[in-house]
Amino acid sequence: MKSIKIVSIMLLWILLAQQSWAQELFNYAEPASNMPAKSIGIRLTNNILDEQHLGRTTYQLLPEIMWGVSKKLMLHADGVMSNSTPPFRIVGAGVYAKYRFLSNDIVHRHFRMAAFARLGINNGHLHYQEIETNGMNSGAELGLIATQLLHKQAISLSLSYEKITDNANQNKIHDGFAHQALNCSFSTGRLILPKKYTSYRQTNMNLMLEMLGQYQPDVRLYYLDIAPSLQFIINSQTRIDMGYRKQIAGTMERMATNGLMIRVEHLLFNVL
Amino acid sequence: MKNLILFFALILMGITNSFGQIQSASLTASGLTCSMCSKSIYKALSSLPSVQSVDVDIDKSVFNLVFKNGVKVQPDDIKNAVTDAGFAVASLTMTANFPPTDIANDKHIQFEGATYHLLHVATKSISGIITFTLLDKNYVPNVTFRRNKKYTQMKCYETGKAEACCHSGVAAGSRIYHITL
Repeated sequence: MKSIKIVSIMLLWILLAQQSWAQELFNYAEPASNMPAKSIGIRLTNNILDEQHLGRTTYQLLPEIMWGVSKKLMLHADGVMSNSTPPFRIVGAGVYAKYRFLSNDIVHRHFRMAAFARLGINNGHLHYQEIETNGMNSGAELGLIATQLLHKQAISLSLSYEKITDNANQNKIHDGFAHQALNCSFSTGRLILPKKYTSYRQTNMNLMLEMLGQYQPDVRLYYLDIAPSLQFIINSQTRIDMGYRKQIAGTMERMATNGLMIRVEHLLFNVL
Repeated sequence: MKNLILFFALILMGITNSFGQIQSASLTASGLTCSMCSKSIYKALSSLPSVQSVDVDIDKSVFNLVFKNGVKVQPDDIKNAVTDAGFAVASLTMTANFPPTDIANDKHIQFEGATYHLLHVATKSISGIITFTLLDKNYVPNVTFRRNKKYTQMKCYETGKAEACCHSGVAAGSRIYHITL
């Protein structure tokens, strides 16, 4: 049943290839491209995670501010609120920097590469083997992204190394749990509507398909998720992202093997 | 009364069509397909002090600019607006009202406070409304920039700045734009 669903998604993807523009404003992974310089972005991400083994739903809210420092450098700062250890409260914060070091642009195409770094702090309890400095662990992440935008297909790959420490408030990493992980992502995206651009006021609808994986070499645990998602861009300035992430293979204990993501993002051009 | 109106009309025409004024430009941007990306370029171009209006063809990534009267236009300001928005310039053509000017291959002309180096042109006189294309690095795709090297031996083509080869009263190190008609 699971494989039928995945094959259906793939088939839909191939069909859509006949008639659309590529899109790289991915919902789960970051592309190698940056936001415009001298601009500010405001992002509010909601994660609704299905903690099946506890029979409850965990809600995570991540407000984020993004700053286009220059054409090559962008910075993010975010907060993390969650009810994972009730009540609903602030559990963490983080900073993220992305530096685009390669850009080869031609009309309607580009190949770009970027390096990124994240620092996260968190004071939540550590019950799970999964490592995530964006929302669950204190630690750092360093990575590389390569994005190829063609007329009808955007493909992006990222690889990163993540290292964690004990969380704040004496929340220690359990014995036998990994302290480091390798992450990878594969993302592709496509414009579904409009069929032809005529105005910035047209609402865009984009379809994304992403694969997100983690491998912990110390303990030899892994997971691989598939994440189809939908994105609406209103007035060429406000993004509404909706995605569903589901594990298709994995051996580690995680907070949730499936979850919904809903995000609103608004870009303020040339405000600095 | 009629003469007076004619007089003011002529003065007004004199202002709006003053020699040396770059009046409009057409720019093709590269590296994008999405309307949000296009809008970031549109906003960056619209915010330039010299720009009066921007008309865009989102599908083709073409931006048609009209400049304000009496404001000096620097092509680098336009190129930088596009690169700061995160993209690149694939082509930039500008239309200006030239005074009678003698041009020749590998010669400089002074125009609106900037120096322009002519490439791949015949020796002739120009005057009036002329459209020219920028050929400098980051104004054309890299392949085109390399291909156009055959039109000059001068080092300023590579650097975009006045070099020892430039001897027409241009201060060393000052910006030189390379154009063709």
